[in-house]
Amino acid sequence: MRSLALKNLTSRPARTILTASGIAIGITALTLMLSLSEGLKTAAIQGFTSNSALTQLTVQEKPQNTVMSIFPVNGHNLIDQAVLNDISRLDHVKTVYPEMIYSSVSSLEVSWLSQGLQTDAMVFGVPYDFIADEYKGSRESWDDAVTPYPALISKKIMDIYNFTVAPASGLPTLSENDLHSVDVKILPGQSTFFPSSATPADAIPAQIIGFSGKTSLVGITIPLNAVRQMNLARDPKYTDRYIHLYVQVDNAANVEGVRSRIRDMGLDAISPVAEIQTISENMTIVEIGLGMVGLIILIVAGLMIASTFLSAVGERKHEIGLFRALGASKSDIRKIFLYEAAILGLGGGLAGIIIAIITALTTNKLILDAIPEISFKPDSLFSYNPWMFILILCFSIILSVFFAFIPAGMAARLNPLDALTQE
Amino acid sequence: MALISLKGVEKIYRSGEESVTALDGIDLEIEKGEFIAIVGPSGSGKSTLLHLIGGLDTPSGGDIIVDGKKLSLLNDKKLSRYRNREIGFIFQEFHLHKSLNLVENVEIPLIFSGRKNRKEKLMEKKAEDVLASVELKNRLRHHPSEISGGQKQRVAIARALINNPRIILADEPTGNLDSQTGKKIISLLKRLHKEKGTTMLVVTHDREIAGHADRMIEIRDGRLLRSNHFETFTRKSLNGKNDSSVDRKTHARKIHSSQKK
Repeated sequence: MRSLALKNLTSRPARTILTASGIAIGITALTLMLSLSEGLKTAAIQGFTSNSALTQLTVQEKPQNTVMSIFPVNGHNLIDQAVLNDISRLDHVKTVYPEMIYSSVSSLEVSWLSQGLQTDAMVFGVPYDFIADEYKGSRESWDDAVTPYPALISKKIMDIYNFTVAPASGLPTLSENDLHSVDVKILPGQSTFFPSSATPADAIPAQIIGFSGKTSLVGITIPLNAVRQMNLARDPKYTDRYIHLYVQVDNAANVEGVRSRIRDMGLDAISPVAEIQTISENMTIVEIGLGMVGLIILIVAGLMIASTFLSAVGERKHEIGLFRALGASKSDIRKIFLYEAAILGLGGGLAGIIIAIITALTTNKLILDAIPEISFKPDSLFSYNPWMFILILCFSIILSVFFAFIPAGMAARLNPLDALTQE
Repeated sequence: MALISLKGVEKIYRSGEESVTALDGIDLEIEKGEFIAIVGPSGSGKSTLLHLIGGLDTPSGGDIIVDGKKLSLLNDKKLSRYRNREIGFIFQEFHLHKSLNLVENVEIPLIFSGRKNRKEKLMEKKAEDVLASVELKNRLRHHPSEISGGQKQRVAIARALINNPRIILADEPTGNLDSQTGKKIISLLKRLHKEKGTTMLVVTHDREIAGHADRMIEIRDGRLLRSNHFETFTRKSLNGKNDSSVDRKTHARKIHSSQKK
């Protein structure tokens, strides 16, 4: 019966190609949507995990509102030393690295291309041990906090500048070398948005000595002792308080346990694993949405199959009558139609997957070639694995057979004699 | 016991309030190996009789018993198997599948005959052999559109024979052929009947076919008029015209099963 089904399809090439093309388009859409959502998820997780160790927790106060979480004012949303000590004593906690923030607005002044550029920036302070793997200088040169303070910035700032600011302003792009050893002035209490009365004597010299994946996107990171000094200069009664604690756990298996205990202390504890899970869950929603779009297109293709087979029943009445006269049962007739549908599903599915792969490769090349080499540039917009293709192919066959089921039943129920006399 | 037995077989076609009686209480018995010519005017029910015996249609009343089995008791699968293995149909219009070549056309009954018969090479060989037996060895890969009417009917005959059926049902096999070609088909049928001893029922207006038959059955207005040897029939039975020059010797045979030997 398979050979009969194949023969029927090959004897009507135009119709077969048209029907299979409909399926191919549906499968292409579904494959592209699924692989795009998978690619976006992979890119998001990649971006996240590149900067975080899986055994590190980021601890912060639960913010009362979003604004206060970014600009801690008057000591709100800061963790004091006693809490740091408590956390350090928790089981499975190896080390706790504090991150201090200068407790007022500030800006940076940079001399660039014979121009003085000033921009608001937050000033963070971390101990040497936290950035030891990225800082090429000595412990003393960091912890002693001697001006010009060594400063680390996020590479993403340079990428954002190169990708958006430079082209928009007609400024030249920067490389890592361009920014290395650039002198900056920290202007505590001064803001380009909110000018203060602080005099230029308050300016604190610093020098950019490198990039770090651990630094904040919205400021610079200098020695912890330097920020402590700045805070004391602002408020002599200042006692150490921290915006973040980076808690290093001894083992990935213990991360959740430590996280749970820190949350019981009334703090927020963000783990990379939990973040990845959150990203995955959020991206799953995107995946479902994109998948639905592909599915709708595929259902339209399925309806086309149903329509094609329905008209085929009418056109092939004589053939059906002949087969019945020669001994085909109703089940045999049904099988012939369903085999044809399965073959169309297989052929259309394969074609759709191939077209999807070619489209993805082409789109990747066009879009990614246009994006400069920035740190958060994804390797690929699309992500797929062989299992996905196998499942999609099976789905294509099942869908085709499903939509041919009713027409196949109608063909099987035709009166053989009436059908035979149709020409 | 007769191979085919019809008892009070009726066929009524209904269309809304109207009904048409195609067959009206047919009683008939056909022995194994008989060559029967079924004659009668157009619309008398000859083809209907053939379709009922072949399981292509179901009677409105009565029973058709083939080899001791009532066809009415067979489900679709069993009836299909009966048509496939016991019956070989030969139609006036040939009814060949135009997309398939001759070998593939003849293979069709094999495809539906069951899993063990479906090995491709075996099917092909069998079809080629049967086509050779009807003198079409040189046309195996041709399509129906590439051969003559007589050749098409030979393909149809080959297809009817492929599963070695016990019963051949031919509905006006020479109806669409010229007289010369028709004669060749008749000789072929005659030869096959002689060689294989297959029971043949042939609906025909053709005197020559009727002449070869063991028995002639005349149907008129859905009723079985008589069942005799050829020489007892007038030409009226064959073509609707009177011809008194035909030998009127009669050799009547009882047509009810209760009086058969």
